[in-house]
Amino acid sequence: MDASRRAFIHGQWNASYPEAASERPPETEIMSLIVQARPEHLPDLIRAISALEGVEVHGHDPAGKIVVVVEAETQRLAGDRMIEIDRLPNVVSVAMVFQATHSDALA
Amino acid sequence: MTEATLDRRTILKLQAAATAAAAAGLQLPASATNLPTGVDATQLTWSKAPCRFCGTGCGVMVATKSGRVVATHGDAKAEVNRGLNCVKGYFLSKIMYGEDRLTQPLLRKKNGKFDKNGDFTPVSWDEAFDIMEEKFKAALQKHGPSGVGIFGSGQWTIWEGYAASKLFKGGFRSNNIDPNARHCMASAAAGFMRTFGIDEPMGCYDDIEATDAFVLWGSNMAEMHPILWTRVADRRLSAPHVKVAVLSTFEHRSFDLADLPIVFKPQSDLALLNAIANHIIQTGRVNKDFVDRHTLFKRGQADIGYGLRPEHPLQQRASGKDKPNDATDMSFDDFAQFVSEYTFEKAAEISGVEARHIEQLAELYADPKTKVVSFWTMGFNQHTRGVWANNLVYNIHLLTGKISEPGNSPFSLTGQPSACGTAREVGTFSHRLPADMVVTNKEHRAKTEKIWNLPEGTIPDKPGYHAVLQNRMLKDGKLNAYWVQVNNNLQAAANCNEETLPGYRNPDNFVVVSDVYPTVTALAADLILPTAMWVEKEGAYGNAERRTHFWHQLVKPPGEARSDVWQLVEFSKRFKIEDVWPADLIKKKPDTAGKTLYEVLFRNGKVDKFAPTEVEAGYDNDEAAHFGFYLQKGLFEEYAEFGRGHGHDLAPFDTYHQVRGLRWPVVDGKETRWRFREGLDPYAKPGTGVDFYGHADGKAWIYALPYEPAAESPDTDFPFWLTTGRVLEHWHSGSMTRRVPELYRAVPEALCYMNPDDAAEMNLRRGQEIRVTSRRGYIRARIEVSGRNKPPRGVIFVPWFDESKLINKVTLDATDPISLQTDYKKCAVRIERSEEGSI
Amino acid sequence: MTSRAKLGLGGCAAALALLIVALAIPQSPSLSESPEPLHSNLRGPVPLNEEGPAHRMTPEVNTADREIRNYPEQPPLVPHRVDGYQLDRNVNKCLSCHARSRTGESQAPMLSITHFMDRDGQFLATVSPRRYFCTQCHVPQHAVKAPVGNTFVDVDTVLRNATGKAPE
Repeated sequence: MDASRRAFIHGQWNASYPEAASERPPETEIMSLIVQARPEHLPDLIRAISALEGVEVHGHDPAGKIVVVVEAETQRLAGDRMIEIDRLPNVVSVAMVFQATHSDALA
Repeated sequence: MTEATLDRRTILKLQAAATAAAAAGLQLPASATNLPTGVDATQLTWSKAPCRFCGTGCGVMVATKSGRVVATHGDAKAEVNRGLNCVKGYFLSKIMYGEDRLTQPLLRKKNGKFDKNGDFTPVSWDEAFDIMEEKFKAALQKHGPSGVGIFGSGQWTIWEGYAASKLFKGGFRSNNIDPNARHCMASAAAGFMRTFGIDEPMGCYDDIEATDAFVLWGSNMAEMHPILWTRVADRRLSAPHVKVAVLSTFEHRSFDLADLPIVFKPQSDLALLNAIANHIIQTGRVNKDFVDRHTLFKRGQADIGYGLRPEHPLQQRASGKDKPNDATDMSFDDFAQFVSEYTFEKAAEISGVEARHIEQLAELYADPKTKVVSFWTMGFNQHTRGVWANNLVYNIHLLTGKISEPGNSPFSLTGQPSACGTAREVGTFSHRLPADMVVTNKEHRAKTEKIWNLPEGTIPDKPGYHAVLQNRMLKDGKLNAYWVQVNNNLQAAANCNEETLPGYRNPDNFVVVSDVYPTVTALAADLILPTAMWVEKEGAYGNAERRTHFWHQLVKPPGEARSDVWQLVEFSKRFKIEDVWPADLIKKKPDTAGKTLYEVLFRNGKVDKFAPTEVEAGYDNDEAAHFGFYLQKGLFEEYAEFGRGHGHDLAPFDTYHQVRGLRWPVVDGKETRWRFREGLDPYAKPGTGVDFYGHADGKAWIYALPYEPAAESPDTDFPFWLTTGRVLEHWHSGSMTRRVPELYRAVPEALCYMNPDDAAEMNLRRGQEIRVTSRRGYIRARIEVSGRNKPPRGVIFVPWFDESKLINKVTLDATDPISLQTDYKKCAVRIERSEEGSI
Repeated sequence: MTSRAKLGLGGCAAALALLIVALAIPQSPSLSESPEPLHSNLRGPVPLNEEGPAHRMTPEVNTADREIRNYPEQPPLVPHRVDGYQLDRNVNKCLSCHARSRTGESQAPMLSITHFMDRDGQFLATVSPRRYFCTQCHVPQHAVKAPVGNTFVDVDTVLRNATGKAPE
């Protein structure tokens, strides 16, 4: 069901608003995380994290901080990735820093 | 991959990674980014800046690309807001890009010549300054220094306010300089000076997380200080014992969080405050030790008038109008006697609030186990007894000793981003000099003249025309050359219909307005100067918690727009010292002879001390490039001389570009969060415990002040109270936010908020057009009976952001006689069905 | 004066693209050619000493369609009506659809996970109290055109202008 039709069915349609009629574009969730790992397990963890779908490691420091970017189709999936990372052995904590919804409408 | 494939998603991912790396404090090597080549092309430059809007002083990160601001977000490292912004702050990226941006000077001309009634015509900066020079010199010739003046702003950057103050007080020798903070914070400043002898809050925002109770006195923080409100909400909702009391003359969004909602009759806050003091005394909860050691009692002058024109009957009748700031000593027992008449019953009768609610409120203060933060803004300050209201709230914090420690804090919020940093600290008021000094004090003038390297006697010893008086003097033809910067006073000034507009259009006067957009003030001027704003120039603001924060110039201003400081300093080149100073003054410093004001004031070896190369690499500084020295740094370092070692210490200039602001006094590199408390404030003398060092006696003064009525109250002809204010989505007069389409559409116009029963009784419906008329003027607006503001019967609320409904044509220019600040919250109006239009 | 663009940034990609083309180079009003005296469209041509009529009140837009954000950090606008919503310390009507547990039923977007972070960046099990009052950042829109346009262009366009190529 397209967005405008759903809006119509839900009684949420206002034809007088000139800018209302558009398709909802496909979206991608992008978020970045700081993963605090036990430093001695850093190489293993980086490999494990990189193996997850839609997950990229962008950097790390010797103290065990890893910068991770997650890309997923929905917020829930992105959240799931985060939980997966959190559950990996030797992960101390995961903190989300940035989150955005990307829409392809302009691309 | 090529650049062409670097889509927004890739940029987003880069940005996501960069943000996380920055938060984790690690550098991302290019090889570790897993990102395609051509990354440079997509890299955004992120720099810090304070938000352009309110006095909260949130930090934002600003992304630029190819000379344009492309994104902004809340700065996670900024202590004030930790990553959050309000809706206005999130749209900062767009405020500079309104399509009708002014890009060249515009002069009213007819047949190629200046004509007061001509049409605005583009001219060069040279021509603009030529006519300004001619008009300023003519005004100086005719009236002396009092013939020229400037109206500035709490939105001036620190150095802009400082340069303006120096140019007018030290250069033109005119104290006719005042900021729009006079409309906003003057009562708070005067309240601080009277009670503590030193301006600005003793506490800071950290009090929010440490307190047990919040009391809002005439402050709709939910809309006007939304990010502080997120901290209050956070505290209230995370700690169930915390209470929130909200007091106002009408119900608004802050009531959504209130445990104790109190709507009182306009002006009756004075009675409530005295009733609380009385309750504290009657129930034996005075902190005797604190009161004995740290306070004195004073009986303030009463019946002080209403700051109206002298011929007004209310002024004629007032017995204390000539000495409003006087006070005499009294004892604690005298004070107890004075407030004893303010029983809950009496306060209930004056305020219309139930006695038991007043008691619940009083208990928050009286209970020694409850830490209390009092917040107030315009409800107190825009009040013909605003200074008193400020004094009275300090009374109750002082009687209980609930002050100057985490969680116990009487806290005056500010409206503007640099009401504190510029208007107050720099001393841009008509009576003030930097660092809390005043023009009426000989030593203060001497100190200022010494730092400015000017001859003794340069600065006039009488206060100049304050904001309201400037408009009256324009109208009366006594102030003939007038410059307005960073404000929209035709929209903001009370009674603008009878005073401001006729003043600007008086054929005797030449009015210059520096602005970014064609505001109503600009359109009422004779010359409009196109102005750079916010991150188009290097700047510094000081927020409500004494936090000084800086930003760099991040983009170029459009067209020929120039910063206010550039305009002030460049204009100073047009005057020889002989044009502005008498011969006997020049004789005292013969080396000034033949020089320009520019040379004397700004090429004095201090302001021009720093080379343009000291500007941080990677940032523009148009002023440094133009003048050949780092103007902002020179002005700041000269200004900082005033406060260092005197309780107003500022850190070195370069430090502020590195940090997210610091709260003064900054001593030995450390900021001060709570003043006056030994151990927390380096200026509190050892052994004192608490040292109110603003007064020479080390004490804070508790004032006995009565309830007195408002200047104008409803009657049979004008049966409604009109109160005005702001809305969340628009900043002040809306000149920036109404040019952001998303914000415009969020709140497109000012509505007249009215009680549904009043509307029903008058047979008016929501959406109908009405006229709001006072003795001074009218506007046309639509009625709202169910919106976010819910006035009680007999009160209407109309916000002032909408220039198509100039509500200040209706308001009354009565002021507090001490602070000279206008009361925008109380005047009498009638409501009529509009003849011209209906639903 | 009258020919000045009055478009606002809208939800429709086509309109947005047109707007960007039209406004990519900021233009100042061509004042000298103006037949009318200079005025701001925010007030209209009403002289300063007079007061014009008040526009009719417009309803809040009410759709399910989300507007494109100007930049990722911008909070999404509310595409539907919220007048009359209860939003106080007892009830948060917005969460009745946008809370994670309700989004299945309501099909409304879940609030961003940033909203679960407290002031210190730690995650909470529920929405952070500092984010509780939704309307401080998310505002509905009235069915009205902004009388003054805005020449802000988003980063894609800036990049396209810089490289002379279209992204993707």
